[in-house]
This record gives sequence, C-alpha cells and structure tokens, in this order.
Amino acid sequence: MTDPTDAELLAAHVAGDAEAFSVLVRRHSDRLWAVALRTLGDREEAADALQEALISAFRRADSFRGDAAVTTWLHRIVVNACLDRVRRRKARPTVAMPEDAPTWAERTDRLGQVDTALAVREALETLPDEQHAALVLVDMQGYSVADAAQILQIPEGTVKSRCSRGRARLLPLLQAIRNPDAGPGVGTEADRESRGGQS
Amino acid sequence: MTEPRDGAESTPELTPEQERAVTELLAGLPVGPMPQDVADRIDSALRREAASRSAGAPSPTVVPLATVPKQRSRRARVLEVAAGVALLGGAVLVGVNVLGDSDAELTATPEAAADVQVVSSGTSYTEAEFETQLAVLAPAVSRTTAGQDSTEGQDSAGGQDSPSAPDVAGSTPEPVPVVSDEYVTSLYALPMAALEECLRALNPETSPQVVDAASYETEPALVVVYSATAGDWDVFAVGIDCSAEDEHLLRYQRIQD
Repeated sequence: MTDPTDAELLAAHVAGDAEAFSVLVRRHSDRLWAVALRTLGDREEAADALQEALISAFRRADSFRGDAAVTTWLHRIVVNACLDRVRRRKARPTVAMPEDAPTWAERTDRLGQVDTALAVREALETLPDEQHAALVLVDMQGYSVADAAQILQIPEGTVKSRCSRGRARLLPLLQAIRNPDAGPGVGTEADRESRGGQS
Repeated sequence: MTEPRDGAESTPELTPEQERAVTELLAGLPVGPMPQDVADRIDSALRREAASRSAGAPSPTVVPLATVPKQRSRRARVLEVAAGVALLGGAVLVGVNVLGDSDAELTATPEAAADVQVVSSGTSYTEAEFETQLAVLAPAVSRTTAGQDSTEGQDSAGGQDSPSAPDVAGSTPEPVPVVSDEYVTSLYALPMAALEECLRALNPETSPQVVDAASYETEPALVVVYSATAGDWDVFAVGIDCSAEDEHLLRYQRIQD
C-alpha cells in the first residue's frame, strides 16, 4: 500500500482525520524548519514562527485551492509568518550597540577566524526582507526560481531580480568573510569599480 | 511619510562567477533537521488544535492577525473573479459599477505619450478591495492593448486568446486620466528615472501596461499592471520609494484571464 500523497493527507484533514495534518507536517518538517531558521536566524523565533504558521495552515486548510503543490502552500505560509516577524523585529526600537562591542575586525582578530555561519547570517540580515527571502529559497534551499516564485507569489522575473540584487549586496560582505585579512575596506565602491574594470 | 530606505544606492552587476560564488557560499551553510524539542512542541500544538476541532469548540488561542499571512475570503475571491473579468475582458461581460468605491473623477486627459502609461485614478486601494478596485484601470489597460492590437484586426467581442482590451460593454468605466511625468514627479517627488528603475526591478523583461499613481492602505503608492503569460496579469502595489534596490512591495496579485 502506497503512502498517501500530500494532497490526500490535506483532504483527509479537511474531512476530519485527526492525524492527517500531523503526518503531512512531519513529512516536510525538516525543510520547513530550514526555511524558518534561515529566514529568521534565531532558533527560538524560528520555532515560534513555524508553530504559528502550521497552526494557521491547520485552521485554513479548506482554503487550499489546489493551484499549487501542498508543499508550496505550506512553504508560503511559513515564509509569510517569518517575514511578518522580521518586519516586526525591524519595526521595534533598536538597542544601541555598546561602544565596547567588538567590531568585525576585532572579532576576527580575537578568534583567528570568523564564524562563517554567524557572519553570513548577519550579512543576510542587512538585506531587504524580500531579497533575503528569495535568497533563502533559491540559493540556500535550492528551490528553482519557478518554485520560489510560487511560494512568494511573485513573478519569476522578480525572484531573479531580487536574488541578483541580494547577491550583489552580499558579495563584499562575504568577501570579507573569506578574506578577513583584507579588512573592512573590502567591498568598497572604489574596490568594486576596480574589480568591475578588470572583469 | 516615508524615509529613505537602506541601500537605495545602485547595486553593481555581478559577473556570473561572482554570482556563483555567493550562491555556493550560501548553499554551503549547514542547517540540521528540525530539533526534536521543536518537533514535539509543534506536534503537541497540532494535537491540541485537532482536539479542539473534534470537540467542536472554538480554539482557545487566536493567532494575532498580524502574524497570519494575508488570506483572501471566499467573497473576495468571487469579487476577484468579477474584477478579473471586468479588467481583462472575456466573453462574459461583468459591470464595474458594482466595484465603484473610487471617488475619482475620471476624465480622459491624454497629455502624456510616454512609453509607460501613467495614470492617476485617484483610487484609495485597500487590502480588502484591491482586486475589485483594479477594475478602474480597465480603460487604461484597454488603451494600451488596443494600441498593441490595432494592427491585428482584433475582434473586441470575441478576442479571448490574448490579453486584449477589456470588454465591459454596458458598464464601461470612465477612462482614467493619463498624467504627465511632471505630475508624478510633483505628486510623489519621484523622478521618472527612479520610476523606471522600479519598474525594471518588478519585471526586468517587459514594460507595464499601466502605472496608477494612487494610494494603498492610505500610503502613497504606485499600482503597476503587467501583462503576464497566457493572458494573465501581474499587478503590483509598491510604495513610492520603490527602487532598483528594494521594490517596497505592498501587494502582488496575479489576475487570471
């Protein structure tokens, strides 16, 4: 006997099956978790957002129209919940960094190496939310542009545009990660122009 | 009131090698499976939901509205279909008068002949009524598509094979005024160069059918309509600080023909 499809599980849930939705969630839990964690960058916040999104999906499953894959629909809800949190977080008053907080260069000097994952996360957080979300889906999660467009409910051209602009903004930051000795000067406008002239 | 957005400066083009390098670095970051405590917590939450549903009781917890992704009601979807037909044309003719909460004084003043048709419908677009309000742009889209189709001998009554002129006979909405570059610039302090950058960011592959200088949820906004594939339409509402760097997307809606 074959496993039920995602659509069959969702239909069973709508019909009243008490277990079907949990089975569906478990089937996709790792990918949904990865999207939430990579979008929010914080374990607890990602867990909150994911729970919130999945409860929302549970309640509104009957609104699923079948014009996209169930997993696309689930991802869409999770991404939207995460982006809502990112926007709320950015809207909150920020706490000024203490003056003695280590700079990037100081941190690099102290540790001898930059914590790449942390640094990339920080770099991603400098991006506009929409570019961040597009890069999480396409570059980090490996979704096709078409799938990401369906999840984000935007045209494919917009996904491509957001990814390109996001990568362009990340490049100097990520170059600094790969080459910390170059210092904060890496990625300056002048530097970019210089590189552009050589390419 | 909007503030300058971070990163409004132009972004350099990357070479394919640079793009690939960034992608590889991002893709290489490890992320493990969902931790067991998170899985257990979510499973418990879903079981509580299932229990309250089977008991027929309203759920004890309510997800704050702000945290729920925008959801369209059935009514809104029905109206969306109506608006889609009204906006995009088709064999069934649906009036747009029922949609008329726009208080715009719609008088044709075709004084600009730019590549991009910019109009000012005066519509205060809202999240709830966005799809239906789009019908106000039907004449403007009609102008564009009529121009595109003028050499094709399009039959206005039966042309449903292309994203053609809206056919809203019997309840044709008034044409919206076309406005000049200067009008947009003075209204929003938005240079046309910035508008063009914004439009390229939204869809680098084609020009829009129409741009409506209006508002969305009381925020000054541009509503941009692109012809999509298979007769569909992509409609964006963006803030007036839309730029190549950040579109400031307020709303996106795919309208199906």
